Amino acid sequence: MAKTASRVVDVRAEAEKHATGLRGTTGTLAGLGVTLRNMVRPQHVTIQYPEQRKPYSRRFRGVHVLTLREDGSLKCTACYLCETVCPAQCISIDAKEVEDPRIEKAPSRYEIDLSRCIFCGFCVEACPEEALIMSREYDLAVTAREPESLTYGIEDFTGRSEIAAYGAGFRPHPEYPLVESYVPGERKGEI
Amino acid sequence: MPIVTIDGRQIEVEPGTSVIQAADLLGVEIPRFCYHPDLEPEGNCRMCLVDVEGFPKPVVACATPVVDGMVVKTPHASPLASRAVKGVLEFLLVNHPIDCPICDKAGECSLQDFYMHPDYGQHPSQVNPGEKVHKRKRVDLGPRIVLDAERCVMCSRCVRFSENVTGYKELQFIRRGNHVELVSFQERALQDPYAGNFADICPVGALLSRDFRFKRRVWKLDYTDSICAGCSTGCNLRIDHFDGRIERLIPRRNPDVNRSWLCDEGRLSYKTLDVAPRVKHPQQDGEEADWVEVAAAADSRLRSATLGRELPLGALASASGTNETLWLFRRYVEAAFPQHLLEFRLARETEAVRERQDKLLRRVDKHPNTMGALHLGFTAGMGLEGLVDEAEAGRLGALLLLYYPPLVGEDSEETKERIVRLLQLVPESVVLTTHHLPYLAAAKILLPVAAWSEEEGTYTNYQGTVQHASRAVASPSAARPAAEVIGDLMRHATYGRPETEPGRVFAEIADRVPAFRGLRYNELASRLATAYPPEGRMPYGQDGFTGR
Amino acid sequence: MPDFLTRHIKDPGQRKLATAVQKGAYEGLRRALTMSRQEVVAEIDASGLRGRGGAGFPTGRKWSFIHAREGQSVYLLCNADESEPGTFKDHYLMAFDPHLVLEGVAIGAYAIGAHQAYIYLRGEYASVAATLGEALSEATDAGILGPNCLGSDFDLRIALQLGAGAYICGEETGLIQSLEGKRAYPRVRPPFPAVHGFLREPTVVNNVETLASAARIMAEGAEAYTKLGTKQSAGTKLISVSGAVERPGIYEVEMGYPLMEFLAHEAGGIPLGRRLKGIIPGGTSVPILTADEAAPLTIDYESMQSAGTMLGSGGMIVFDEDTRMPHALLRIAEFYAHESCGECTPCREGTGWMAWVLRRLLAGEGRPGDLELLLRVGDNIEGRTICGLGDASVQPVRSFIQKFRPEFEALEPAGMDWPAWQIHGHGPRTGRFGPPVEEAARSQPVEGSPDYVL
Repeated sequence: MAKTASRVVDVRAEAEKHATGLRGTTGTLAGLGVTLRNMVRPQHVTIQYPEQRKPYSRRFRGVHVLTLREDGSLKCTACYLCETVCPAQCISIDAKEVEDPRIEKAPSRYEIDLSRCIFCGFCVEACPEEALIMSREYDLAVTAREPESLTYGIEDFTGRSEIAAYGAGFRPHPEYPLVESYVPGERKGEI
Repeated sequence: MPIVTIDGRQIEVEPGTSVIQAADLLGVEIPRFCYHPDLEPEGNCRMCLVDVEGFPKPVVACATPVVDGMVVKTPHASPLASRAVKGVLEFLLVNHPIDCPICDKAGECSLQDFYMHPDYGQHPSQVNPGEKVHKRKRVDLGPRIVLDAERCVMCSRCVRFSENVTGYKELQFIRRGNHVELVSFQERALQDPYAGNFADICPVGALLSRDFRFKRRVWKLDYTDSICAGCSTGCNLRIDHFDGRIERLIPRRNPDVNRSWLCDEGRLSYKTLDVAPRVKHPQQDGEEADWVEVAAAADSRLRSATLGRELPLGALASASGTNETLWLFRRYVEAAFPQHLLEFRLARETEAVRERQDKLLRRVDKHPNTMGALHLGFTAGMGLEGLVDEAEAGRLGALLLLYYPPLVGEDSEETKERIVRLLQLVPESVVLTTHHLPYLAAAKILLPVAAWSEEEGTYTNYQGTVQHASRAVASPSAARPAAEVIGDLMRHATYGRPETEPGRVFAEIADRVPAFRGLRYNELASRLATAYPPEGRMPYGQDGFTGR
Repeated sequence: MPDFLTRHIKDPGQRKLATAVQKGAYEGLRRALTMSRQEVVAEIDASGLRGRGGAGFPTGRKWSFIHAREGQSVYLLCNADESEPGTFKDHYLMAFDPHLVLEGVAIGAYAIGAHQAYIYLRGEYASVAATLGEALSEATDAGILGPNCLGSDFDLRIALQLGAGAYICGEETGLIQSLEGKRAYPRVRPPFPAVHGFLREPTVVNNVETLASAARIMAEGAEAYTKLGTKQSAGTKLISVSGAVERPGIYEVEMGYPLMEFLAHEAGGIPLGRRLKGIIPGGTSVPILTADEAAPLTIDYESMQSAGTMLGSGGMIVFDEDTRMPHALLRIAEFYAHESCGECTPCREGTGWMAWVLRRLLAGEGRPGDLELLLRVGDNIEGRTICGLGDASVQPVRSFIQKFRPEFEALEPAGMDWPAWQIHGHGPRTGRFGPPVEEAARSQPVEGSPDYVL
């Protein structure tokens, strides 16, 4: 049998088809239509960040929070489980003795290098006492390049008003109620 | 000799060996709390129950001597023994607080290890945490030990150590049943100079070292086998370090030297490395200098001060240096200075080397390598005192001093004064040392060398046993191992290109010095003191989960 | 009733040496001293006397195990630490016929070649200590005991040692440890006390009644003893009866005497016409018998063994139909939890755990599966301990639950197999029977709970 072949696409004809006529215009108009429709729609998809901010899910893994006991002391017992489990190795802790005989130890230093943190939440899952949870805070931009500028310590994880402003984020056992007074900071936003 | 079969494997052992010892020799793991190879067996924890053919009930492996033809099945092979051990482990955990996350023993705790073992652990808990018997926590037992009575499994290792090993008899149990509690005599602080061992022999987190408490989780540590340089006993120890810092020293078992023990002074000897500031850079006439030029200068200044004036060199190396360092020191002195006085004695090391300080481990001579120095031919006999006399008589051209401050205690005021006097009297002096010490300030040239734990080498203990110490941590800044520094001096003096790598230096020593004949460096380095816990068990933290 | 052992126990003035000697005291010792040691052992062996402390081991054989090497001292220890619940026979034997006991000690010591004997007396028996001490000094002054006993060349010193009130001191090796001045932690056997006993020397530990019987046997001859009792269990046994009987007390019973007959005729039956529910025949450490099981039995070692229990120390406790068995068992279990010496793990933790579970069952806070848990804990104690007291603590628990199961099942709630606290890790803190409050308070001086819930 003799071999045959046939042209499937005529490239030149195709090119002419797109170069002339109204086909391209309709596509453009259709796109503009979407824009026009959204211009007149009352809802806004984008918001005026940073003046406006979107609330994130309760499972959002933002900057960490060290929770407190009723008396205001840190719940953390410096067990180093978060440090052990951290895949980015960005947590470092020093322990100290405490006066309270019921408590074995407490952290004298608790630091997370947030520039190295990958916000995986393993540390929070490893914590046996829910002493470490995550907030919904996400804007961490700093203007300095020194690693210390994003290394947060105990004061940062307990004392900053942003924590309360953004609300509590990821916790491994959300079925237990979160006692709000144990979350540090002034309560401003929705928790 | 009786032949015993354990889990299908046969071994011939000495008569009187217990089943657990035979199993340890075979490498078959039998769980235990109260048994310790260097303590009398007590048989109270019931954890080492094994199934012996012909016995109706499981028997304790620690207190049952082997008889010929005995067939033993451990919990790994026998359902009966496994059931028994499982039951015992469950009992031990009934009133245990299970506060592993805040317990410093976690990671090297027998109770944890055994519970995680599929053959006798991992039972579901039947006890509510609120129902446990509570005992005292954080009991102060003096400067070395903190007791948590709730975590205690009443194995009585500490009681027996205190009673039979050191004889201080300071610990005992009180009360009965599940309220049994460990107390010190009249609740006083422990007086025992070996109290640190309580934390090692305690299989759980009941007796904890106050020094190591809260410092570092054990799985974070790196381990390096070494030899204690605190006295001439040469106890085998392990340096546990993290991030280049020594966190603790714990004994390695060596039945011939220190069994499983370590004195508190030796245990804390690493702290003396931080007492004075370290020499970080070479110094020439009080100014920081570069290694290359300072080594050349040191050699040429020493030689011009001696050879030029036909006066001998006083060369003193303290017996805290490794055999390799001392050997190179001697070779350099002998080759470069035809007239020399080679010495190692700062005080009365040779007299004190075998003198006991107590009946267990400690010795009066606080230099780890006095015997090594003697074997390596440091025998001038005049000592530091003689050198001072020579210098006073103007018969000393220069001084080369290799000085390590003792890790345990301090050199006597007399010795320090003599060093000061010597440095003032000699016109030229080169001092190799680790720390900035006031009595070395008069040195013309100061060369920083690595301290103990920062260099590799061998030490010869009072018995003449040559033991190997590995390098655990890095030296600060420009400090280098003394052997290398001396090698530099030799190079600059164009006395060939000597080997300074410890293994090769040692080979040379073994070749030339009778006391070292037949010894091989690699064998010494790999000759780990008998591991305890024995082979069968996971070495602490080496389970692939170190978090690092 | 026979009066082989207790013939003179009620005689006035029997505590005085003069009266006692008049009634024939120390005749057995006099006879023994004319014989060789081996002959005395053989005579006791022939009499078939078995240990009256509980185990029932043949006394003659026990004595024959002593082989002292050159330079070794041998010790006889008289176990007068009668602390098995339900047993109170030795107390009266020592209190009313002290010379019989001393004679027995002397005979035992002579038979094993001991020149030093100790009577380890229960700490609570202070009044007995006075009586016994008086009798001892009287007999020593009279030259009966002490150097050259009864004019022979046998020297014997007897010393009295008071315990401090611990059940474990009645255990052979616990007693030895206590006598050595140590904490009464039983020793791992082997080596047995016959080889390594008191001060690491060969030692025999005998019960008071055993030695007293030996004294009577030496006085009357072995045949007089074998005539009494059964073939296997010769002689008589002191039975301390307590509980639901009209006439509780101590009875000397000839071995082989039917149990029911004994209860009905001697002990006066059960008060108020109630029916029998169960009997513990030999102290709380032996399994309980139901009324049906007890009916065909006789009072001797073999018969009791055939029913799966033991004659033990002869401390018979009778329960009538009104007894609530779980409550009775709790009392027993708490005794063992309190008295466990705490040396070895299964008994230390297991006895406390069993008592704990029983306590919560009775408090109405039981959990499903608690009965199985009790039996399992018992299985894990039995045969895993250093001394026999671990096994002893299991016997009552197991037999009570097996034989009176419906009563226990009524306490066990039905419902979830797996309590919620096991899933979530943190259970409710049960206030009703938590850990001893003083313990918790001492360790936690600050008020409030250390647990915080977020």
